[in-house]
Amino acid sequence: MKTRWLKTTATDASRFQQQLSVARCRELIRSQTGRLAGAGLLLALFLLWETAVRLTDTPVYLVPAPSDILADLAVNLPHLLSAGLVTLAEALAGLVLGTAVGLGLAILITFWGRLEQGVMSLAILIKSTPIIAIAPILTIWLGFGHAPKVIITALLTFFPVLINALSGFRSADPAVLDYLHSLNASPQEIFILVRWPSARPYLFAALKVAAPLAMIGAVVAEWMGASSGLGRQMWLAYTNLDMPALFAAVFVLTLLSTAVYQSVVLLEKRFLFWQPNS
Amino acid sequence: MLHATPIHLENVSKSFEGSNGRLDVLDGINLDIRPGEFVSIVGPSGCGKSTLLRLVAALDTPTSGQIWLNGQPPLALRAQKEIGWMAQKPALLPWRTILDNVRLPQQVNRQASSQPSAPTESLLKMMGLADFAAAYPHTLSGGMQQRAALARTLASNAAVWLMDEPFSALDELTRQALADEMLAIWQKYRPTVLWVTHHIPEAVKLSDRLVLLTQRPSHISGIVPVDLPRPRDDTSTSFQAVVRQARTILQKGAV
Ligand SMILES: Nc1ncnc2c1ncn2[C@@H]1O[C@H](COP(=O)(O)OP(=O)(O)O)[C@@H](O)[C@H]1O
Ligand SMILES: [Mg+2]
Repeated sequence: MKTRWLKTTATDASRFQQQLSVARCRELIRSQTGRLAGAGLLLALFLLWETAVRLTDTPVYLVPAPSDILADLAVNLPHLLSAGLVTLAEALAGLVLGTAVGLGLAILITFWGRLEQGVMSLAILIKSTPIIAIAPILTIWLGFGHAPKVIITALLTFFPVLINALSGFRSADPAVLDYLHSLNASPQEIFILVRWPSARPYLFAALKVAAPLAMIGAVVAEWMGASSGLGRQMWLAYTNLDMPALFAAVFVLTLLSTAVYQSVVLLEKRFLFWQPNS
Repeated sequence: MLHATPIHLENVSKSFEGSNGRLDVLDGINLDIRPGEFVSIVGPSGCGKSTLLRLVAALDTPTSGQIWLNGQPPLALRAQKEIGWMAQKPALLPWRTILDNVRLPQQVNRQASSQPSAPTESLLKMMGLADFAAAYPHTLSGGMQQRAALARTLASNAAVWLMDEPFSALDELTRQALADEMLAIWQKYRPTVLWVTHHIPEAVKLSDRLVLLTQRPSHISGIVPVDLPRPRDDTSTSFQAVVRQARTILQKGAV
């Protein structure tokens, strides 16, 4: 009697398990539909590209077909990836520097409001100067090493961080600020306890903009003269009119930029748990 | 806690300079509040109740007149962490658990730290929040959040509690439950309480006296003592009589 009871529950349980896993599969498919659709679209685009290039007999030095690019990648991927790592390292170093400068200036303005106008005018001046004009100058001054890349990336990324951090520090809830003032909290305590945490969503928004910008900054700086990096690979391919190699480099750059962006998104999810809809 | 802190307001006026001229909000408020007294401030919306409370908390300064808390200016008492502030919004830090939020007043301005009234954990237990100690504010109902804010005010162990319509955003039942708890807390610890509300029965239920303000620029139109033993039955005729008395004075001041 007892065993039979056990048996039925066991089969029931397994049936239940089955239903559960079917449901879970459906759930998974539903949650992945957007991603699948995106991948499908991309694939369709590549197919269209391939057929268009073949049908019109476009020479490879104008527009390479995806198959040409794949062929190049098959050979050069390790090479491109190691160049990509150089660019990535420069971009991240520049991003860290730019973020530190942007954050530092925002903190300065938060504590000493009267500095705001001076600092902001200077920041806007730097931001408005075209990077493409500064890059060669820095390369002449600092050579083909990593320094000019890091500086250019920092110049490109500090501004969004500065603006967002400032808005973030000011976004602190007035009711919470009143409460802390009622405890006679010092400006430093208010900054650490309220302003900094309030600014975190803004900082992540800034990083989402600045991280891809950092990759662009590093590559542009490398175009101006570099001994290594993706930008240099692109420049070499460009001067040789080797379009498949150029596209392959672009492909690796896009891949790395996306990875950087997704890392920021992951970090954001980890740190902004208290935000109801993020 | 500095026990027995009287509040003394002498001819306090406040005006705001705005883009479209001067706005006179408070016009010569004179008021003496006894140590440990529970006083409600009742008046029409926009008459300056919050403004008055902010002046007492040193969150703003009067245009003219003097405020003394235990013979000292508000800023001095605030520096000693003897001000307990609570407003309509719970103003909890969303990235801190309820326990850490209630601990906040003990972590700020440490050089003035007085002993907490009780360990934070037992405070939470007393306020019915023990199960929510590790929860984050956004997972709690509005009533529970305000309960946590009340626990936080309690944890700061201040001599003067300034409370600006703390329960007016809550539903009627929650509001009554919290008002009862507030009363029990006040009777246990006896801080001096300045309680702003526009809800006359709530004021009569809780306070020793009602201070009634007129329309802006406001002055005191009347002070109604409530000489009824606590807990008060809001259906009794004596209770209703006090409510009616306050309402009559308020209506006169509102025109
Ligand atoms: N910081 C301020 N600047 C200008 N006007 C203010 C300020 N604070 C309050 N007021 C004005 O003062 C009046 C009284 O406001 P408040 O004290 O909040 O009223 P209550 O709390 O009684 O509803 C309102 O007209 C309001 O607009
Ligand atoms: Mg108000």
